[in-house]
Amino acid sequence: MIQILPFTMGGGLYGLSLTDIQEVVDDAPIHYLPGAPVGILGAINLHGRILPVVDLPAQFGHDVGPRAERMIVLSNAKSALVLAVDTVRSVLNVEAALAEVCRPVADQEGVAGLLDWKGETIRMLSLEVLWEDIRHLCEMSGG
Amino acid sequence: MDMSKYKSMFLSETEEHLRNMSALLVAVENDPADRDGIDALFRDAHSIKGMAASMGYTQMADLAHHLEDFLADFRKAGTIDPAAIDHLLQGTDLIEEVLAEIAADRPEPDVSAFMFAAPQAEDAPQNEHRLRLTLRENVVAPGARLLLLMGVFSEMGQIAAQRPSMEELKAGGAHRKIQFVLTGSLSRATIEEKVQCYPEVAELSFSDPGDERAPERRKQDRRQNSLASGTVRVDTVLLDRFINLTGELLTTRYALKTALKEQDLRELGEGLGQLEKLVGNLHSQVLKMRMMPVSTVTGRLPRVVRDLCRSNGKEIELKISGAGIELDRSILEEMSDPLMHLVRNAVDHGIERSGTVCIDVLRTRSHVQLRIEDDGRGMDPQLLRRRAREKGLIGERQAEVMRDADALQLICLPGFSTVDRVSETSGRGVGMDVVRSAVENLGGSLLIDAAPQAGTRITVTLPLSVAIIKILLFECAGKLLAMPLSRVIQTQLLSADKVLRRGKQRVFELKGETLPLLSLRKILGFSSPQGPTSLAVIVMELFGRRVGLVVDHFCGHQDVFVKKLPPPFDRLRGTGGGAVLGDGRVVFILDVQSLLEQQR
Repeated sequence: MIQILPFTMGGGLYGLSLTDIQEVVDDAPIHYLPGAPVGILGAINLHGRILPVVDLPAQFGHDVGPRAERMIVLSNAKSALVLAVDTVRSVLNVEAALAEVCRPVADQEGVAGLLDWKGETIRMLSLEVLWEDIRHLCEMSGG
Repeated sequence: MDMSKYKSMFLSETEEHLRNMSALLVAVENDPADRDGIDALFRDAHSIKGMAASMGYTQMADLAHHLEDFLADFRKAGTIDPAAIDHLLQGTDLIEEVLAEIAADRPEPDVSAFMFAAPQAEDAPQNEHRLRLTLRENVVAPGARLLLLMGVFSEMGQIAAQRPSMEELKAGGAHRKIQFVLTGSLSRATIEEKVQCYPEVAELSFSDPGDERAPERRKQDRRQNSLASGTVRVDTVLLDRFINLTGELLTTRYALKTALKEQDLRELGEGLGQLEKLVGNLHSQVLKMRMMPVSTVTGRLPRVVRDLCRSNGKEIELKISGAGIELDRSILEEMSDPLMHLVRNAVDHGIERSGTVCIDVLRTRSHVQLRIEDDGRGMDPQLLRRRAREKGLIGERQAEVMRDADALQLICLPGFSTVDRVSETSGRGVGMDVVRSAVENLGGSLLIDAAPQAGTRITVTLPLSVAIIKILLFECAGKLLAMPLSRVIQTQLLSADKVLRRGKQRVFELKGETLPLLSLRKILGFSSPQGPTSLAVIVMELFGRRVGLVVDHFCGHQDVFVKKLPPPFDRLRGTGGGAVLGDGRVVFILDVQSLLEQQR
C-alpha cells in the first residue's frame, strides 16, 4: 500500500507520494520577494523558516489566474520546497502493485507517469525534473 | 576616591559568587559531607564580605559575614544539615535582593532581622496570606498562565476567596490579575521564592493580616547578573594580545604614511594588506571577548530544580555537561529564560515521580547545541495531532499528512497549550511558542524528539555568534522591504519642488552635491507612478557613487536576524536574505545593486 496526495492545478489532476511531503499549508500569507522571477510567488514563514513558494501551475504552463492559496511543502534532503497549487484532495491508499503499473508518458514534461484511479487519471509528478527546472529558473535569474 | 567606576565590577563579581553559592548549596545538600563544597561556600561568602566592606555596603558585608560565621561551624564538623542549607539559601537570596537595591542606586535594606532568625522549624504554624498577583504585560495567553499558577499555589496550601474564579479563567478572557487567600504552613519568603521561578509573574503582593509593610513589589526579573549589567571579565592574556595588536597597527600606520609620502605604490599595497590582516585579527579578538561559558546561564538551574522538587515532591536529578563551552553573551542573555522554561517543563510535565533531567552542551564547527533531555513520560504524536486539529490550529488534510516527528513540533504553536494541559498527558506546551521564537530570533532552531513513555529530548541549536543587524523598513508599491542601516547614509523626505531635472535624469541637491534620484518602483518593475507629494528618499551608495533611492514611505527600524534563502534560491538576485519580524511577517533585505546589474 502506498499513499498518494492528489491535488489539482489548471484543471488537471496531479499526485505526489506522501513520503515526499512534509506538510500541507492552507493559507499562509505569501510575502514579497524582490527580484523574484515569474514562477516564484514570494516566500512564506514556515515555523520560522523562510521558504520561497514555487508557482507550480506556471511551471506547468497553465494559465496564471487567481487561485486558492494551497501549498504543499516537500521534504527533501537538500532543502524544503513549497509548491502553490489550486486544491488538495484527500490522501489515497493505492495498492503498491497498481502504483507500479503507472503508464509512462512521453509528451508531458515533469510527469513521471499516469495512474488510473477510479475513472480518473492522476499525473504523478517527477520531483527530479521539477528540481532541475527550479534550479534552472534560479540560475537564469541569478546569472 | 570615586567608587562608582568600581561599582559595576563589584556587582558582576558578587553575582558570580552568588551563582556559585547557589549551585554549591544544592550540591552540598545532596552530599552533606562534601568538605570541598563547604569550603568553597565559605570562601565565596568571605569574598562577598570583603568586597562589600571595601565598597562601603555595610548591610551586605554584615550579612555575608554572618553567613561566613554560620558556615564556619559546619566547616569544622565537615558536614551540614538541611535546615542550615535552607538558611544559607535564604541568605544568598537576601544578598541578591540587597545587590539589586545597590544596582538601582537605592539604599541598602536592613537585614538584621534575618541574622537573628533561627533556621526555620519543620512544621511551621498555619499562615494565612492574602495574595494579589499580576502577570507581565507581554505574556501570551494570560488566562492559561493564571490557571497554571493557581495549580502551583494549590500545592502550597488551601485556596479561598479567589477572584477571578477557576471557572471564569477557564471561560477565557484577558485576565492578567488574580487575588486569593492562601492558607498553609509556608512563610511569605518561601512563597515569594517559589513564585520567583515563574518569569511571567510581574508582581506578587501580600497584604497579610497584621503585616504593616506596604505591598512589596516582587523583584522584577532577578537576572541582574553580569550578563545584564553590561560588564565582561577579560583574560589578561587577551588584553596582552590587544596591546600587541595596537602596537602593530601603529607601526603599519607609519609605514603607510611613509609610503604615501614617497608615492611608493608597492609599499602602500603591502601596508594595506597588513592593515587588513590586523583589523581582521582585531575583530576576531573582540568577538572572542564577547564569549561567555554556558555555565553563566545554567548556574542557577540546580537551585530551580531543587525548589521545584521541594514543592511538588518529586525526586529529580539534574545533570549538566559541557557548560564550559562558550557562546556570544548576547545569545546567552536571550537564552537564559527559555532554558529555564525548558528545564521547568521537564520537571513539571515530563517526569512523573522521579527521574533525571540532563542538559548536554555540545559544540560543532559553527554551532552550539543544547540538549535538554528527560526520562519522563514523553509525548504521544497522535494525541498532539488530534489536539491541534481540535483547536483548529491545523487543517484536517494537514493533520492527515503530518509525520510523527512534525506532530511533536506542534506544541510550539501559539495557543496550543491550554488549561486542561495540567491534567493531560500530551501537554508541555507552556511557553513553548515563546521559547521557540526566542531561539529562532537568534538564528537557531529547536527540535523536539519524544515518544510515549520514553522521555523527551529538546535540541536547541544556536549559532556561536550573532548575525543580528539593524535594518531600515520601508514600503514600495505596498510591499514591505528592508535595507541594512549600515548601507543607509541618511533618509530624507523631499518635497516635490526640490526635485530638479538634468536632462532625462531627476536629481536633487544634498549639502551642495547633486545626486541622481532612482525610483525603486521602476527598478522593481511596478508601473504605477507615485503621487506628486513629498518623496521618501534613502541616500545610499550604488556602484561607488551616492544616489537617492525613492521609496513610498519609511516604516521604522528593527534589529533582525537575517537568514539566507536555501539553495537553489540563494542564487536569486535582488536580496541578501530575509528576516522574520516580530509579527511573523517576512521581509527581504533589498539588494538594489544586484538588481541594477541584472538590468544593465
